Amino acid sequence: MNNWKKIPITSTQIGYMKTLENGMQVCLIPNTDFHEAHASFTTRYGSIHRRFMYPKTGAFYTAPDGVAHFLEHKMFDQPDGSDVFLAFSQIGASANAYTSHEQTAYIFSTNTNTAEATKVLLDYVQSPQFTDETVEKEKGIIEQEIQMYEDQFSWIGYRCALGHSYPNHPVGVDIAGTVESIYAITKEDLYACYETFYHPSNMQFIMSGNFDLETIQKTIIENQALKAYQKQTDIVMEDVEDQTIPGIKALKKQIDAQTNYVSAIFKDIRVVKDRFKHHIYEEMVVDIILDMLFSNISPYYDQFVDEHIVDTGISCYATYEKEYAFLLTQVKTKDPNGFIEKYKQCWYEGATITRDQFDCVRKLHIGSQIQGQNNMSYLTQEMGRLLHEQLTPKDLLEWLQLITFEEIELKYQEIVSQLDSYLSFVLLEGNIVK
Amino acid sequence: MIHIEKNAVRFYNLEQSKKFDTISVEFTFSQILDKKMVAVRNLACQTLIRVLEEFPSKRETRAHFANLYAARVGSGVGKNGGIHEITFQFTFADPLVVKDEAYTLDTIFECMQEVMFKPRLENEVFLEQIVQVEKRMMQEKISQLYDDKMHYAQLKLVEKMYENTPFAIKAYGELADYDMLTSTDVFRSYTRMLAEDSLAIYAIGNVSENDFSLRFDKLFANIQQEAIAKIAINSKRICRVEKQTFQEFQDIKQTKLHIGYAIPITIESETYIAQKLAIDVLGGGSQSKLFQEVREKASLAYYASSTMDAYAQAMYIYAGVDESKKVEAEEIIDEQIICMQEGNISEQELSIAKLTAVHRITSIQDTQTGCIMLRRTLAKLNGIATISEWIEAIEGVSLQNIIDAAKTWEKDTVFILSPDGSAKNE
Repeated sequence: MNNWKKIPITSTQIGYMKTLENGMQVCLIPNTDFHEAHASFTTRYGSIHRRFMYPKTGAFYTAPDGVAHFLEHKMFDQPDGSDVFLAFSQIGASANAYTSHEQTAYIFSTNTNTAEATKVLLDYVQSPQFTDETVEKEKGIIEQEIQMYEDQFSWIGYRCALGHSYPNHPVGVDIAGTVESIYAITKEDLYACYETFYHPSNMQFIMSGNFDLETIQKTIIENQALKAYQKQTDIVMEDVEDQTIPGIKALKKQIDAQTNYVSAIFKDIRVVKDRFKHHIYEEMVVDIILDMLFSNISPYYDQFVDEHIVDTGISCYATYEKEYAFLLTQVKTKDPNGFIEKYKQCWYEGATITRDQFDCVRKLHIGSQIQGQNNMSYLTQEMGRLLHEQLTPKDLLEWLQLITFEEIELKYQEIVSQLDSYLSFVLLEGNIVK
Repeated sequence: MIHIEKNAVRFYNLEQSKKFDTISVEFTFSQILDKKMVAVRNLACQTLIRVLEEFPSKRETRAHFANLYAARVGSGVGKNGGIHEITFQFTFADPLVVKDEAYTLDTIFECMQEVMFKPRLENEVFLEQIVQVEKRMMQEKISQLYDDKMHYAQLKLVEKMYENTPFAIKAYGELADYDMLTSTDVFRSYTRMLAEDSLAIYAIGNVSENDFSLRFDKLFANIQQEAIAKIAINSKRICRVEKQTFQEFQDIKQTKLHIGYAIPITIESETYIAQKLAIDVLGGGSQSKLFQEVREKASLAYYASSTMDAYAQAMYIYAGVDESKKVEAEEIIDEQIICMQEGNISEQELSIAKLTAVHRITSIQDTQTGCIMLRRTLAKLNGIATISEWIEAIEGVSLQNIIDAAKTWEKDTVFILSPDGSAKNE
């Protein structure tokens, strides 16, 4: 079909992209080597989008915490009472959805009836139906989901770390909200958020894997042409600045566990603005620094493990978005104070911030990127993150190869200069630690 | 794809596939399950991959793997009925994709040879310091299973359900099994594994089957293996006359309700496929009875599912519920079992379970570990040799087959992990 832009997505796969008349971005990556097609219909609306201008009233609206996730649950209800999961199952497709801080994604995978499943996905997300009764019914289910996560210690550590560092920003609140906040949600809240954020101009459809390109292109265009959407003005969010200096104070909580769980969070206020070309590029730089210091190819790692400063290993990653950025490190340890001291020492010493270590870690990241390309489900999800930034995994691989050691050193120094104020620890103390 | 039986104790399953950018290899060593040997075998497979002869520290060994474009090397243990398995897994970036003259198929096979046959030794055994650290970490992992509350509840269910039977043996052993192990014990276990276990090699990637086969022959050329006798997978389980219930209290928010049912079927049984499908109808997805009744209609849970243990002749049901609703949840679950046993199953429920099962089989072939897992399962299925035969068998299951399968379910054990303070309220 004409007017579709052909773009290399990875070193071996081509994507076909188009922005429809209603503003929806579409990216299709056919690959008939695989059995399955994986699709994602995503809105740039997540748990952080708490206060926004509601187009209907022209006034700012504050939604209770957990609305984006609640909306994701309720999207499966249909005006005619039918069950969307049933509709997918009957045509051999498997469906699901998830909500993050930044977006909500509705997904399916199938090896048959791909066009039909595409229509089902587009139609159910674009036909909301919320009633007082169905909203009330869902609260019990989501309450149990929240309780399930409340028994997972790594999750508690993550949530407390973010809450401590960002007391004034919605990223500090659990994606699902709290039991109290979800019981306050009404159908009016759901409609306000839906009408603001689920306009096609704020959404993207991505499919990768085994499907007929022309058929799916035609299916999407025809499906969207039947739906009348008014042009929507840009979404206006209230600026939320959280300049809180959390400090190094460790938060403590008791848990019923055999060991202690420590989460170290560094809130990066990015002292030098726009140092890097993009926040995703900066995230890659920081991920490399973290691996240089704490991955299992760092000399520090074996000191932590062999000297029993941590129980079994160290997990860390960076999250860099436009509004917020943090690094999180999580460990299990019988010696929380020993870990905290050693962790800080590693940062200040920086003995592993060397050119050789950088070359090795960079190769590791390149290899991991190549391995990710194998997986169509991961590719669809990754494009969901990159598409509206006009980036592809191929771009990220090229960026990896462009990152310089000088950039690593500069960013490392910047982080170290802020550690005193912006590094915090959450300690979950196991009550049966031996 | 070729499937070569080299001799009584070595088995190759090799597949050339151009769709992946990586090459995946698994070596599985199998031995008769022995409670006294599981811990030392586990420690042997963890220790072997840590330090290579040519890279004399853990860090240098890992850096070596990282320099091979993030080669992934892992190991672990498992059990299938009366067999204990050690598996080594390797994933390498395909040299044809990487395009580095210094990185070739030979590089990959050299790496596997170094890992399997050239560990760093001291006094002709593994380094004591490495063994002791691995031992400590393994003991930490075992004791910290307590912290994963869903997993803990499942472990306790299994422990109570199979007490004093071989089904209770854990593939990684018990905490105390590790206390006295030395590097000599662990090294001896490694050499015994090479000499006495049977070996299955699975490989998939853009390499011709012939190239794979020749290189694996060369890799294992110096290993002399003795044959092991084939043993029956399972003895018949003794069914409990009266179901038993256990409850434990911890400082948690949500009650974990875990129920075990005895079923007289294993993966080698003729009726395995019908049994698996019946368990899917009960609690295998969003259209299953458990999901619809416990979650969607009663709003009691976020998850309510059922799974089959293909070797221990059991089905497990689990749900996370509020403590005040656990009785109601268990009643609804019991009702669904009775429903199925009385034949209250629609053609639609069966049809969706079949579509889901077939979908699972096709989708899993899109990953290399999935392809290998399918091959392993096919090797065990009764009278089924290919994926298309497997799919045909699923599609051929009738409603009556499902009802007959459900009628074999006998409630055996209930384990409930409840929040603290709930005992005071009862």
